[in-house]
Amino acid sequence: MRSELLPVVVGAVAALLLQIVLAPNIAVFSAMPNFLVVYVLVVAMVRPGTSLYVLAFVLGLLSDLLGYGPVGATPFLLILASAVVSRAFAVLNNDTVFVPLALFMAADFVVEFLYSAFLIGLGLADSAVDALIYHALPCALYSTVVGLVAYPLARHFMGSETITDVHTATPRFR
Amino acid sequence: MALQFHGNGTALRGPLVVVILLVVSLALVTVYAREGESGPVHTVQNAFSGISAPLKVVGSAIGSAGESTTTAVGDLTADANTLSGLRAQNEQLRGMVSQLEEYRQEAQRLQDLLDIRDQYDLTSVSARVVGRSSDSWNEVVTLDKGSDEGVVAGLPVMSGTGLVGQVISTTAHTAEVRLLTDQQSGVAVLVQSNRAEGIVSGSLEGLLYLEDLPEGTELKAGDVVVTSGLGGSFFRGIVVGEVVSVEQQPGDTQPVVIVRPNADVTSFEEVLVVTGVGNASAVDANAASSDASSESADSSSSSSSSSSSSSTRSDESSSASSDESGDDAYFDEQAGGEEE
Repeated sequence: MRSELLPVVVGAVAALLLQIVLAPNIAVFSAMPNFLVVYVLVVAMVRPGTSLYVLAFVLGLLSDLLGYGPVGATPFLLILASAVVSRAFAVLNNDTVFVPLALFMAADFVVEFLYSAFLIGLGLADSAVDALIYHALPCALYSTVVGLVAYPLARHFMGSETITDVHTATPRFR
Repeated sequence: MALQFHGNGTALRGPLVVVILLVVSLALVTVYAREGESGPVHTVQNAFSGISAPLKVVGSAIGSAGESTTTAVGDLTADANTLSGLRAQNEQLRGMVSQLEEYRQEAQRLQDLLDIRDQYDLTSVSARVVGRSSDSWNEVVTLDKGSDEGVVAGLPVMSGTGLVGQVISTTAHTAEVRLLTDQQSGVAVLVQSNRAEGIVSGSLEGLLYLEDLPEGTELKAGDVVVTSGLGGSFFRGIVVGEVVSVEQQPGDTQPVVIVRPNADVTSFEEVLVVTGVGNASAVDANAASSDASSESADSSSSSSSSSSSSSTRSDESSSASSDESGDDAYFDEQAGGEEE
């Protein structure tokens, strides 16, 4: 394994353990942070590249397998979210907290809401409005808070890449 | 030339990987949606639940430790303020009292479980909750008993005060229980006062809704809801909860009925997995008589409508046939117990 990938993999394992062990214990009513989504979004901002999508797929798949929802929905959404966020961050980043904050909130919210759309589409949930109010919004806010803590930590341990094209300008991941 | 080729290949690799992974993800969703509960993807998912169960146990322990630490930190802060030996001793005693209180509460919960098992004449497997769902979309808990202890998917699960959910999957030593409040949960029930049958469903906001009632069913707050046994998923006669709100929306044929669960479905630690109800046969044998009693109740509905609380029905039925073991008497007895 390349040494550059080591912190990413260690972070992924830590996120997975936090999701299983810690997340259920810090849930506030129906709001529970999703460490896996947060981690993928953080990596999308800090260390974008081809392996980001593999990471998003693997973590999403593990999330679905460890949960009770449709297997494949989370990796699908995480890959899309990571692709969009890495692009947006590359374009919008101005070294302030606002950009990652806004991206975290928007991406978390979209991922949670689209996941509810998957559930509704598969007949596993009833109301989009309830999903929005009782899950997507509070969970997105909670995950955003976690993301704001995780983002500087990730920058510290993983470094960061300022790039304009995430598909071509990621030499350390190739 | 070679460099250019390499560059183009690299440029295409990112989008290609994304497309491939997206296709694989959608394929997995499709397979998951089309296959049955015993399909390969479901099987792998159940296996992962079993694998992660020890981690959930750790998480549960950490959660308990976190609460203890919070308490300890609070106690230590108090000691630092006083630096008094008596104060320290007092704190120590408080700790012991807290510990004893914990034991007392646990004993009380276990006693409640024993009581409810006797009350329903249940055959059951007692279990502890060792983990909770790691995603916010599912209200699922993990128990420390599995197929080796006789727990199988589909069995109802009760806490000390009533029904809390249903086993959805098992491993050798763990079982996953979907709680009543889960949005995918549904229980066939009947309303004790008028025998109207319906479905109690969970929801995203954590409330229980009573749906699919016959048209024209009259309900009021306080009506007791029990399992009907229809569909075979739940044994008949287990108390689910009571109606707390009935709202008729303009234009809707059915009212919005909210049911408060009899059991606290958010914070329980010990449960019974019900493998059988001892007096179910007696309940079923008298099911027909309940229809007759309903008809007679209808004939005197004008008098009962003014004061037809469940407690009144309980008193009447128990005094009229104290040695009957019919479902009405059985249910009324439960309702009477609840009101006490």
